[in-house]
Order: sequence, then structure tokens, then C-alpha cells
Amino acid sequence: MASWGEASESRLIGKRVTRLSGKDKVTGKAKYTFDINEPGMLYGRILRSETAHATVIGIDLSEAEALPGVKAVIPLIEVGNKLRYQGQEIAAVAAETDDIAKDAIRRIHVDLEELPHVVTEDDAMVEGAPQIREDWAGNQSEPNVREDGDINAGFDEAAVEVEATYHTPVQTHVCLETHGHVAKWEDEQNLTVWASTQGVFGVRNDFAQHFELPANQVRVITEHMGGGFGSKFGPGIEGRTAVELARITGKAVKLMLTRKAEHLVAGNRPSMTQQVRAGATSDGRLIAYDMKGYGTGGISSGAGFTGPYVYHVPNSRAERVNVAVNAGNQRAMRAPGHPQGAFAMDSLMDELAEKLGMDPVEFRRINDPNEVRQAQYTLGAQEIGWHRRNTVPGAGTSVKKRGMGVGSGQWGGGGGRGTEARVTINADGTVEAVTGTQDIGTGIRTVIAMIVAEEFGLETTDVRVKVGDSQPGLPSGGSGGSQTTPSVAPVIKTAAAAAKQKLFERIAPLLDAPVGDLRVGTGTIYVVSDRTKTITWKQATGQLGMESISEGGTWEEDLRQNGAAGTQFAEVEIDTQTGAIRVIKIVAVQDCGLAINRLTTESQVNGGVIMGLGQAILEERFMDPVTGRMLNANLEDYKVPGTLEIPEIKSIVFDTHRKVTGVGEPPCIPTPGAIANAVYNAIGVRIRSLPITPDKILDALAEKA
Amino acid sequence: MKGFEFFEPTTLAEASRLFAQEHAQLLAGGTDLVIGMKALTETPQSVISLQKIPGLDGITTEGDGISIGAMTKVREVELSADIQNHHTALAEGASEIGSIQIRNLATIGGNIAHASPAADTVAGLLVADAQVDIASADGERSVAIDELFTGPGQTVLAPGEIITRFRLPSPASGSHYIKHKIREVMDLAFIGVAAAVNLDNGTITDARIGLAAVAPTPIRATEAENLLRGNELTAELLQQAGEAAAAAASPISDLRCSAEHRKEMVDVLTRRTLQEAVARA
Repeated sequence: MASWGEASESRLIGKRVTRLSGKDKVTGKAKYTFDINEPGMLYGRILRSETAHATVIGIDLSEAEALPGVKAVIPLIEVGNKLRYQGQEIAAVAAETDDIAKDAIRRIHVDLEELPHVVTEDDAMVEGAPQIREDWAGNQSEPNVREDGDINAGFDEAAVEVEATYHTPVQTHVCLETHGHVAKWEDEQNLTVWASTQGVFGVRNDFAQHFELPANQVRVITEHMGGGFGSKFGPGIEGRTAVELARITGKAVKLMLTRKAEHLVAGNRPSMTQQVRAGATSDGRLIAYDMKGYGTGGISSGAGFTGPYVYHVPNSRAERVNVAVNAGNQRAMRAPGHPQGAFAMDSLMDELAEKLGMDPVEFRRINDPNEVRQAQYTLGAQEIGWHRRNTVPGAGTSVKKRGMGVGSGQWGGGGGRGTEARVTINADGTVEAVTGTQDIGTGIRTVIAMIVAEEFGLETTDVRVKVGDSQPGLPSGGSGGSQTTPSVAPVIKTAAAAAKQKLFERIAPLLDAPVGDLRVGTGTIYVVSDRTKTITWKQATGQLGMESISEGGTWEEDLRQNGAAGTQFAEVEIDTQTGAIRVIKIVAVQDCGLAINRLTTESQVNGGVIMGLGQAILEERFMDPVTGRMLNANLEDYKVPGTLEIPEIKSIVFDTHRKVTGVGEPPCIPTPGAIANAVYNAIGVRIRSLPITPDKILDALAEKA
Repeated sequence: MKGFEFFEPTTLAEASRLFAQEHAQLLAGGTDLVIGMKALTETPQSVISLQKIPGLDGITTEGDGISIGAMTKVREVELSADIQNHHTALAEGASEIGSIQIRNLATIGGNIAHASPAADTVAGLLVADAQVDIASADGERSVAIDELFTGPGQTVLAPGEIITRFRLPSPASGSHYIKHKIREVMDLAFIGVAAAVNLDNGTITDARIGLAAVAPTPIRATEAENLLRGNELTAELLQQAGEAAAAAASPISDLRCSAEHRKEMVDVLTRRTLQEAVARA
């Protein structure tokens, strides 16, 4: 059975290793798609709708085409078709400079027949609202209903009940690097595209299909990318447009989305509004749960959310519908559906615990079937100093009040088949590992180098890692579902082991020892039965002569495992006069099995917490019901956390087993619930709607007073 | 950005003549104008840089007073020991603008001439009782800072008139500025409140309160000031001053919060600002 070995045997695996690309990134040497400039390259721009709902009556491209410096103008929607949200693509241009492209966009004239729009869930659900999806009566999908046990019997058994409505607004991904591509046709049959993507091979296959090319004649390169969070799996209309403009003009074309377009069309986390009634027995068992909720993913479906979540409820009913509005489509966003559902569930848990007069952690212990989290509750509570919390929420008369809260999350992240990789040992001692995955920012390069270096007794800097390129045709899946490391690591490990075996076979005669007796030391290979027989790595590889050893790997079920449990504790301080909320500390206890690189794992936890913090206290898409437009499609009014909003984050990588589990998504799940519960503990009023802003806090305090 | 003509005059008279033309804009630090031009909310036909005109920048002391050239970088205002010591509220306001990189470009003249009700230096200038020197091809004049603004983005400046200098008379003995915002840095003021006080044996001999982002123009809370003058700062007086300042505010509701919330904040922040200004006096 394949195994990662014991911790005591590992020289690198499980240790803290500095990200290999870190220096390139902070010095600006790392090249992102945005940084790619090809000789004679043109700049692409897309004209987008400022109208939320309209029929296109006419498009006049002639004035744009006549502008000097414009090389191509193409329509992206047919006359007679409908525009269904602000930001939808109408036409595109390619021009010699970005300024000319912008000018050209303004010279495209579009005749529209405006149609009534709805941009908020509540407006869309009103009787008589304009029908904006023909297949959804009343703008609502068929309800998705899940039932378990008997909720009536459950409520009969309940000693306490809570009924509440929880809401989370639409959140956008805010990738630091906007979506975009640089497309270049090498000739009529060979296409190269630099893409800011989290799925190199998915994008390659999309282009191959769309432009009717053999897949191996499309090369997609993503050396570095500035965040995807689930929004960058495919090329999107903008990617195909860049390639089409390049095809028409015969020149390379760069087309990056503007920040505004990024907010409007590059995906979002759907909203959630849920009415829930839940009951618990007098001894603290969650016994009944009845929830009805909705969310919007814009004009598309996909607005699901979890519930009941994490905690065991024997009797439950959950009904969810999607609501269509005239706004850009949702896309997967870091743990889709989970942070919304977790915020509601963890708020509900605290409300029930209070009715029972129970400690919120104790109440969770009773109802959480997950053994890992049971241990995490103890560790997290100890780390935050849970005993210091307000025993009476909102107690005291000071202006600034502190409180603590807890939240939980659960994720899969077990990886899967489909990655091919090669590990090569050259005669000069150099080592190369190649696979078609991509570094979405989590540090897979370093993880690959660590695995290979561990196997060969080398340092991570000795291993040349090539990822983010669809050539030489070693496929790997998209970086989603927290699947990258658990999918890639086993294949790299087995490839390296196979290459090592081949090398051992070559040098065993030289060392006059059976192959099975050879071991790697640190930069050496020795015979385990006679340690005087030792040669350096370079002496060993020197035996290869003109040949290299190059081996592929296989996916090994036993090297990875599904299931990542997490718990977070938050401490907040509220200024009861201004409503200002300051998150002081987050303790994030996160299990991900074997953390190959502890340092980058902690970084992923930090990143998740920061994203959860943004959702908890800052982020919200505002739609204007009158104009149908997004009011804060920028980074001035759509606020993400700055460095000074980020609290002390105690990121605890919670060791469980020695198998790899992905951790990209789960750390953002428990944060909003933990913060919301901490706010309640501080001021004794509950905010059931994210983000928790100063005005909501003051309103709630005023209502209580 | 739309095409435009760019001028770099070397005298105020020349700059004024150019600026008197239609669709002309002055370029100081460019931190507002250039963003507006990129977003096409500003489409000037001519842009007149003030960079090459000598004598428009620098901070000098004139007796008890301080003179700040309009082209002085906000960062210099923030770091000036004279301003930090004598007009603390203004230094604090300057320190709240954007990032250090932005403050190294932005000028105090631009921050004021842009006439945003939320400008971070304006409350500090209001409580410093600043005089604004204005030049044009026709000559010079001076107006009090609280008479400069007529509306959002609007001032009493006539076509061709250019702000050259802010003159701050003898300082109050203590001042303070609080910017109420969602994010710690890189955020616009919800509300800005500055207070400056003179104390004589615990009695407030003079008090000035400046409010930003709570009315179409930056304003002085004169009712509140009148309540304070001649009195000691008791808890009761503090409450009355806060309420009077809130009554002077006429804020808007927007996507971030309601007008009522803003008024409540004016009350709270006026009290806090005053307390700190008195503590420093």
C-alpha cells in the first residue's frame, strides 16, 4: 500500500518550506497573463450592456471600424436577441493601443428596445413581476426539497424552538488579476493562449472544440495567476473573443476584463435568504429543522446553499429555490453554498443554545458527529480563551464591548484521477517534474518540488517544476473543489518513486548491492546493509550517460483522503456608539490530513479567513432597482478587507491522518458564523444579515434599548 | 481618456488665462482629475499643469501663522512638525487621504479645489479658520475657507481663478480630527469631524467645529461652537454640543447608510473630537 511514511521519517513532507515562486512574485519578476506582451500585439475591448434587460434592435459598427488603428470589430450578440443583464457582451474590438480600443468601443452604436427588469430577489418574487426567464414561472425554479425523518414528531419532542430569517447578499470574487487572455495564432492550425485560468486543460479543450482544432494544437499557458476562487475554469466569452480577434487580425490580442466587468460578469457567490424553524430537546439534542429559502445566481441557476449543516438533525426538511434576476451569472466561489449555509446554521445553533441556557461549544459537542471537530472545539476554545467570553451577552456599560463566537465547516477535498505527470532525472543530476496542473496561488509548485526532493534526498530548490502549460500534454484537472494537491501529489509521488527505482536499478551493480538495499540519504545514495557503500547523487546520475530517466506516475487512492473538518473561534470588539466592528482575533483550527507544506497550508487558511471576514463585515453587491445596474462595481464602493482589517489569525493545521486532503476552500466557511456569534456575545443583539455593518449594529442596539 | 491639449505655464497669469477658457481643468497632483479622465467623468479639452509655476508649494511660518502653498503635497502637510504641533487636526486629516503613494502626489490645493464635501483636509482648515488666497490674471483676492464652497464640486472661484495658498492664523491650543470610515485606510470619509479649542483655566475661550461629508458643502457647526464658548466642558455641555452639531448636519442616505445614522455619528464624533481637542489644549 502506497504511503507517505511516518512523520519522523520525513525530511521535507509536513515541514514549512518557503514558496518557490515567492521571490519572483514580490519582485515583480513573475509573469502573469496581464504581463504578457507579444510583438505587434493588439488590445481587445468589449462593449457591454449598461441596460439590464433589452432586445437588440440594431448594432452599427461602422464608426468604430473607421477609426484609425482599429483592426477588427465584431458583434457578440445577434440583432433580435435579448440582453439580460448589465455587462452582457454586445461587441468587441481589437486595436493598436488600448486607448484606441476604448475609443472604438464608444463608437459602436446600439439600438435597444428596453424591457422591464428586476434585479433584486424580492422584486423578482413579487406577483406580477416581469418574467425574465421563460422556463421559470414567477422567476423561480422548481423547489428542491429534502426531507429526513419526521419533522412534526421532532418538533413535538423539542423543548425549545427558534424561528429566524438569515440573509447573505451576493458577493463577488474580486480576483486581484481580472479574467483575461493573450491569444496568438502561430499559424492557421496552431493556437497559443496565455490565460488567467484555474483550469489550463479545460480552457485548452474549450478552444479546441470551439475553433475546431486538434486539442494538441492548442497550447494554454498559465505560469502565474492572480486568483480565481472558482470563477476561472473556462475561457468565457472574453476568452473566445480574444482568440477570435486574434484569428481575424492575424496578430496577438490581449483582452483583460476591466474591474467593472469583473464584478458584473465574471461570477459571484449567490445570495441566500432562509426562514428556518428549529428545535432542541431539553438535554441539548438538535431534534427538528424546517427551512425554506431562496437565493439568486443572477440569470442562471446554481444558487444553492447548505442546511442543515455539519450538525446532526434527525428530523429535517429543507426547501430551496433559485430566483432569477437581471444580473450576471453566479460561478462557483470558494466552497460554493457553504459559507452562506454555515453562517445561518451557526447563528441558529447559538440561538438555540441560548434558549437552552447552554454554552454554545457544549451544545455543538452534543450535536456534532464529527470526531475531528470534537477535538478541534477543545483546542480552539483553549487558544481563544473561551473562558474569558461574556457569560451574559452584551453585559456591562463600557462603550467598547468584546465578545467571542464559534463556527464550523466541513469539506471534501479528496482529489481524483486524471492527472498525468513525469519526473525526469538527468545525467547531470538535475531533476524535473512536469504536470499540466496550474498554481492557482496555493503553492502547488512548491508541494511538487517537496515531494520529489523528499523521494530523491534533494532540496526543493534542486527540483525544476513545470506546471501551467498544456504542453507537453500531461493533463490535470482544474484547481477547484480543493482538489489540486490530493489529485496531483499522489501522481508526483509515484512518478518520483518509479524514477528512483529506475536509478537504483542502474547503480545497484556499481554499488554491488541488491536494488532493494539502496536508499537515498541527503544528496547521497547508500546501501542500507553496508553504509560504507555510499555515492553522491551526482555520481549516481553520472552513470546515466546520454540517457535520462523519465517516469510517469499513477493516482494512488491510499495517498489521499476525502473530508476536511474545521472550526473557528472569533473575538470581536464593538464600539457601541459608532457601531464600528473590529475583529481582533480568529483562531482557525483546520484539518486537511497530511499538510505537505505546513507553511503554504497555513497561508491558505489565512486567505480563507480573510475572505470569510470580508463576507462577514464588508462585502455586498448593491443593485439599483431603478436602473438595473450594480452600484458598486469597483473597489472603492465594493469593499474587501485591507491589511488593517485583518485580525490576528491563529492558523492551526490540525493533524489527523497521513493522507493528503485539499484545504483551499474550507477555511472560509466557518468565519462569518463565528464572527456573527461573537458580535452577539459582545453586544447581546443578533445581526442575522451579512455583512454586519455599523448601521445594522446601531439599529439593532437602538431596537433593544 | 479623451484627447486633450496639455499646457505647462510658468506664470500664474498665463495659467489663469488658459484656465479661463471653456472646458479647461487644472492639474495639480492629478489624483482626482486623472482618475476622472480615465473614467470619462472628466473630459477637459485642455489640461493646465501648475507644476512649473514657482512659489506655489511649501509650508512657511509667518509670525504666529502658517502659510501653506496650494501645490504642497498632502504628505508634506501630514509630516510638517509645525502643522502637527499647531494644527493637529489638519495634519491628521492629511494623514487620512488614500495611501502614502497617493499622498506623495496629491496636493492640499487640489483636495480643496475639488470641493468634495468629504475632503479630508477641509475640516482641519475650517477649524484653523484658514484664509484662501486666490489669484487670476486680473489680480488677487482672499476668502475665508467657510465661504469657499457653494455645493458639491462647486466653489466661489470665478473662471480663471486659481487657489494659491492657505493662510492659517494663530493656532488654537488643541485640535483633533476624526474620520469615520468603514476601512482603516484607502477609504472615503463617511463623516469627518474636526474640533479646535482654546482654553483659559479650563474655560473654553474659543471653539471651532468643522464637519465634512454631512452636507452639500463642508460646514462649521456654529450653534455648537456658541454653546461651548465661555464654558467649561462638562458632560452635559458635551452632549449639547454633539446634538447641536448633529442638528447642523444635513447628510444624505446612500447605499452604505442612512442619513439618520450619519446624524447620530456626527453627534458621537463631535463629542469625541471635542474631548480630545480639549485634552490636547
